Amino acid sequence: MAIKLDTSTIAIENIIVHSIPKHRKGDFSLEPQYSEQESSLPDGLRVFFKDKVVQSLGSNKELRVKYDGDSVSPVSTYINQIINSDGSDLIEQSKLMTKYLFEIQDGQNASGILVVIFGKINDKGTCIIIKLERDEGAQLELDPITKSFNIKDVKDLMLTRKTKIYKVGLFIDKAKFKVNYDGSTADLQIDPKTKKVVTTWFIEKFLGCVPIENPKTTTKKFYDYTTTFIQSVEDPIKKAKYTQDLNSYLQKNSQKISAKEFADDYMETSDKDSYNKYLKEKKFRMSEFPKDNDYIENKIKTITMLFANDIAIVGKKGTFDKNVKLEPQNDGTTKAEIVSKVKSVR
Amino acid sequence: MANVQEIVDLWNEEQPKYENLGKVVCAVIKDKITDYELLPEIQYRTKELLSIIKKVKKKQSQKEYSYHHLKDKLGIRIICSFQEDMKIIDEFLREFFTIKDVEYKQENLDFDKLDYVSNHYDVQVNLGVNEFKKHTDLGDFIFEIQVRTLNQHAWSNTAHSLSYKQEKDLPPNLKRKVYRLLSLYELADDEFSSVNKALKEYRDKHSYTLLRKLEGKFYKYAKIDFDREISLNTINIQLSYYENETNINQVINEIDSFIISNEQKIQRIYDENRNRFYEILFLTQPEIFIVWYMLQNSPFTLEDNWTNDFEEEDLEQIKTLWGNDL
Repeated sequence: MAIKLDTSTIAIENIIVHSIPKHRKGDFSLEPQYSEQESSLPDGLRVFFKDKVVQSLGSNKELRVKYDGDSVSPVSTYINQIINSDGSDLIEQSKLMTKYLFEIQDGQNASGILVVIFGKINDKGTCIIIKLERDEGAQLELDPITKSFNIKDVKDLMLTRKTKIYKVGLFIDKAKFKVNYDGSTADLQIDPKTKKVVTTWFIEKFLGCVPIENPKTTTKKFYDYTTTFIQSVEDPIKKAKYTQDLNSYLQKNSQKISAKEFADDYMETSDKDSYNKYLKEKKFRMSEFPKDNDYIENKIKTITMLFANDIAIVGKKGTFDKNVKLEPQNDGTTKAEIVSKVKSVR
Repeated sequence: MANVQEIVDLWNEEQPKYENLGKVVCAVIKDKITDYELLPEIQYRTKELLSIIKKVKKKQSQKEYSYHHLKDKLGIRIICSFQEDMKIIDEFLREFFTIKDVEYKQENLDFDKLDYVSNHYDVQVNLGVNEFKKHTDLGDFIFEIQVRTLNQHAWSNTAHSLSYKQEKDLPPNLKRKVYRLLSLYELADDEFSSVNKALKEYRDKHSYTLLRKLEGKFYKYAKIDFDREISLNTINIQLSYYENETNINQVINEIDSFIISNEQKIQRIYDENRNRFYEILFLTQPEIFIVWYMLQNSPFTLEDNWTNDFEEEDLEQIKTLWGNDL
């Protein structure tokens, strides 16, 4: 049986910080600043970093990922080495990670700080990677004596907002947890440029990961489960509204969607909780996933409302609610009103 | 007769050891008694040298007695709210201590005796218990633990100040007055107990019912007391988020099993954050269990309503403590 990855059990044991300067593609006159030692971590800061990781992975942006066999990124090897060595290879492997990140970055990417952590989740080894993108003015000073960055400076950068919102990846040895995913990521940066790609640069290019499930399958499951749930709603008018809402939501110009966002945007509170409970039973997660409507394209183009007297109304996406006026009657029936010219009868 | 100088020398040597024993034992009791969902007051004292000398002398006039016979060189007192707590504390003491002698004084007291007294235990620490294992040097000491209710404590202190000793010496009218007074303390304890039991079963006021269910559990993990007024107010608000009575009853019925099934997690959260309670005030109030319950079972009901009454940051903090499954 799979072991849960409960983020409340995260324990940070070792932490190291490296700094990556902004540079043009192929310009290697600059170099990353590597720590040669782990940073010392007082309890207060340990709690701070744990909280930040838990918050990111608790957000709606959290996404389960697996290593992509076709990716050229070597980061999965470094991560596994850190986990398998019980953290003792953290310094060397995190430097290799930083070097790779530096090599694939180009002038588009801001200066960055890479924080690599070895710790435990559910008492088993985990490697956590935090990438912070910072303003040019926000510098970190490498301590010449300890050859490490002061972790408190990283905290201050995160608090003073000189650092843009960060990206987090938590990885495990999936065999030990008996799960089919290698980790979870949260890319909290909202970048209009990356909106057009299915996963982000951080997840795909750097970590070499893809979502655990094909976005087409996940989107279809989302559609099917949500439709089944909507069918269980008793009030026919609410049912019709939610059906239209689902169609609109799926056709929104957004590359990522989530059951949580759908519920928050369209449902009444009590229905949201029932929906959440239903999806939990179906083991479908509320958090965000890349959308791909390929398998459901035909289903979301039309809405069909079938009445008990065998009369059906078929409407096109986005126009149904404008053209069909529904009104509940005292006897439990629903009155539907359509005012238009008759185009054809088949 | 007592060799006073010998007692002085012995006590000078032993007193620091008893003092240390008192500190260790009190710390263990304070820490572990909350597992029994109680938060009694705990005190200790080592006996004054003069009291020791006087007591030995007095006893020697009646029988063969020496300094070494004294069992109360260290006295620990546990003061609880209700009579029924004394039974629970009895269980606790039997687990953590080796009982050499016990006197349930109330049980043996004739109806016409002028006293209202606590349970007295002569004990040694149980070195088999994890908390005492490393204190092998304390294993041989015998000391006294008294367990009493607040009313017994009040009576004992008052009686002490009135300095009545031998009831036979009291004139009948005064004796009657003391009987009447004593009966009030006993009656008060009985009445407190029955009200306590009734309130535990009182279900008209949901917030109260829920708080009574939570307080013992809260003591167990937080090991501190809490502000009842804040709790009742917050629980009232939390329950108002539910649309109907059925949902509220569900919370009341399920909260125990929710806490039990998440015992390890809750324990870990409290252990990890004990030194920053001041940053997360919700951790110092039992209603945090309801927030966690709602996060698990009706997160939207909680999140959609929370900011009407509380700070958004507080909920973020509580959610972070609880974490999520990846």
